[in-house]
Amino acid sequence: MILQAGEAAASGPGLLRVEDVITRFDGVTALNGLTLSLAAGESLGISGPNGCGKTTLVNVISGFVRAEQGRVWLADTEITRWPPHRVVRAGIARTFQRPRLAFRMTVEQNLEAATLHRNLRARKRRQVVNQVLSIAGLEPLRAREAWTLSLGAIRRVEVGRALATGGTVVLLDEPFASLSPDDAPEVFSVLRRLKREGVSMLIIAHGFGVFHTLCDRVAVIEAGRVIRAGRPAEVLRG
Amino acid sequence: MEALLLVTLWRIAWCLVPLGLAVAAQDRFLQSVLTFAAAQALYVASWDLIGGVGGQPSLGHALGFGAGAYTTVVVAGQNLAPPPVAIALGVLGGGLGGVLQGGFSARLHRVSVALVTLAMAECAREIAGMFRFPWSGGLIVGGNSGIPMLVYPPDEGSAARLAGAVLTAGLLGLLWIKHSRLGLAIQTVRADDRLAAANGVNVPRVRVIAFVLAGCVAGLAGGLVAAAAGRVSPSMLSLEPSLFAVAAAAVAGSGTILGPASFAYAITAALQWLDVPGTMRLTLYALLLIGAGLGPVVMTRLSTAGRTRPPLTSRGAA
Amino acid sequence: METALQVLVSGVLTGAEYALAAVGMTLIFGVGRVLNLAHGAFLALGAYIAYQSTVLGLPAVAGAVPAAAAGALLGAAVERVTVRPLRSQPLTAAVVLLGLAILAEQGFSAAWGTSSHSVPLRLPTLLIGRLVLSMEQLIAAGVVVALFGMVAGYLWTRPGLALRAAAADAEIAQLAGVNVPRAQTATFGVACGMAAVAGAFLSPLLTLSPTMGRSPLFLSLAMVAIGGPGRVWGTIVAGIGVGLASTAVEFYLAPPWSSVLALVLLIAAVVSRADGALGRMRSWRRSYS
Repeated sequence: MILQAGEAAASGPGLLRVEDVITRFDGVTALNGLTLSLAAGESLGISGPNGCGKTTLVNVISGFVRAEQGRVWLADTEITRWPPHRVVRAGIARTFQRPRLAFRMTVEQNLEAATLHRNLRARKRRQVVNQVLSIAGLEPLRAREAWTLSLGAIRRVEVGRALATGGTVVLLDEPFASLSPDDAPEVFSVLRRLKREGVSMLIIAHGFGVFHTLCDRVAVIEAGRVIRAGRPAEVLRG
Repeated sequence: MEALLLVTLWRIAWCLVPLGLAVAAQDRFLQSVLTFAAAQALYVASWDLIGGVGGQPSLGHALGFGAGAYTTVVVAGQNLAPPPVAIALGVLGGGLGGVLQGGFSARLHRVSVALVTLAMAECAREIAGMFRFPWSGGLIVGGNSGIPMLVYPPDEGSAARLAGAVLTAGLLGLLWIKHSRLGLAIQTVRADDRLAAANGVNVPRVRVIAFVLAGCVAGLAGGLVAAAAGRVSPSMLSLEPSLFAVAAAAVAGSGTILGPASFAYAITAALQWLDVPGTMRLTLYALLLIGAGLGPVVMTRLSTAGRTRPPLTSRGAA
Repeated sequence: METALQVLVSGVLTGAEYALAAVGMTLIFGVGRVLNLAHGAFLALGAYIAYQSTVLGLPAVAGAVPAAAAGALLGAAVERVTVRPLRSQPLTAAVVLLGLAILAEQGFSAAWGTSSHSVPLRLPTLLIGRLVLSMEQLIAAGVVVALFGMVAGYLWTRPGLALRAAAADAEIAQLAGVNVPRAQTATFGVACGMAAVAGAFLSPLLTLSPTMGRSPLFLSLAMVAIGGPGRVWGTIVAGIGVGLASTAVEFYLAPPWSSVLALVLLIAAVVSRADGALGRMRSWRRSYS
């Protein structure tokens, strides 16, 4: 298994906990006392209207935005105001709503760059990269420069990159956004595979099909708070 | 794999050229020219690590260069160490400059980096021009006329060989850094700093490290120049060397280390040979910068002049 | 005590003149999203034109009129030819402008030689209470205040609103019918004209040499960085403050120290503005997703 525990080991329920987080930008309250938790091996879907704070939630957890109040926990370690690189080293990886890759580098280089912080020997590094290429179905594309890829492939490289950082928790910010019906299944099958491997995932999405088939639970966010949470069938009814 | 090996061998061979030229040159004037050419090439190559590979547009790289030169002259002039050691200690002066510039600009956007680095070098130049103090031999040195030192190495042949050897080693070192994991981190930060952070890279720290390494190499180059010229002055901290580095990289393949270094070597040799005065050199660098900036735009306009629809622009401009 | 008052008043007047140039730079940044690193060269141009006026027997302030015209026309031309094509690459544009500034230095040395000149006062000096002020200074102060008023007033008119819209969001302003490129060219021209006027007013206080524009460039940058890039009133206040500090330092210490002060203030302002004042090309949040 390519994934290894980071600084904070995965254990029991409540692997990732967000407690009462409040953040504000320019007078707008983006997160208004948001609380949720993610158990080890669980896939949690995040739903909600545009502008309700879903991406801000991911930004706060991953350290790109500072929470003004509230706390974030990874197992027993509080990671609330940790800078992004430290959060990654603790074992939480993320993707971006608008894909971020080093577009002039190859797929392989992009994945290699994701392993930089892990201090792996060259052979182990190649092993990890090869594993990720295989899981994400990127073998035939390994030497292609990222800017030449289709959006579906780019999204898969993104997920692969997150995996290659060695995280136990992956935050996926709208991994299906703007994907055509032809591209979506590629990304879908990668995420399904991750679920089978026991990766803990937080998935922001709009399409309910995603939640029903990929997620164990769903949390609905509105105006910066979780208003409903539970099993997809229950929560998304109506 | 074979292609990679060939490219690597070719690069190593290219790095040995300056040393070869220095050894082969017999004429003393030519040797002197090659000395300065080698030092300037090393200096510009060091800029390329932060500016080209790292994407941090420093407009004040003269700070490391000049700080190294001043360190060398002070150490040698006060007899704190023999001249070769004094030159090597230029690394410390340059590194300090790198720490300052890197530390202040690590979290800034590119335009701000340009401004802050420019301002810091100018500040250093002003300060260097302000102070005069007593020196060995009853001299009062400092201010705009600078500080003298005994020329080292005393004969042009040794100077050329020393500079050539240091350049060769420096280029190999910089190439090695570029292709190392640190180099990949630096390039990822350049491509997208948020992406790099999401990959676990400590972005500010990587930027500072790049600045320090580049500063150290620039300082070494500065020490070589000061020792070869027998003097350091505030002009080594001025806009001229700073813009020279940027212009050379802009014109000759920024990010490749060897491209800017080769260009700098050739241009410095030509300018030294023809004894072109300082103000004209600065004008030349300005023209190169303007050309490098506007050139691509003009070319695009000319090439789309006959078409009905303009081509899509490539991602990630500037 | 008298000297302190003298330094204060002179400092404020000098600061206001520099602020005129700085306001131009801040407008260029606000509307055109580019840092005019050639701003010092335009100031120098104005100073040299003022010098030429004194050679012809006129007072330096009379040079402000041709300076304004020359600055505005050249500025507009520079914008049209070098800045507009590089709209999407602000850093490259700034560096190209710096290159042009250096070429301008060569131009100055070709036209007026490399040795320094100074600009004599041709109008009488006045004694107001215990203060010594030249007519040049007073006229300059009056014109500067009037110009500030005009700029502020203009921004509240309809065409001025178009400028503010273009500054806030060029794309949307364009869609709303504002001719953004033309507004940007006009702003650049006017701003350079303002810098040249400032140069003409400041000329009696400065030593004219081909590289004289560098120090004022850094002063303007410091004022813009402190006052807020794109903010007119902030820049005016910062300009007067920095000018005053600079004059005081020059008087009580030595001239080079005022350059150092400007540079240190610039660095401090840029660094302390969180994600870098003059680099705030995109909002922090927009580039997050």
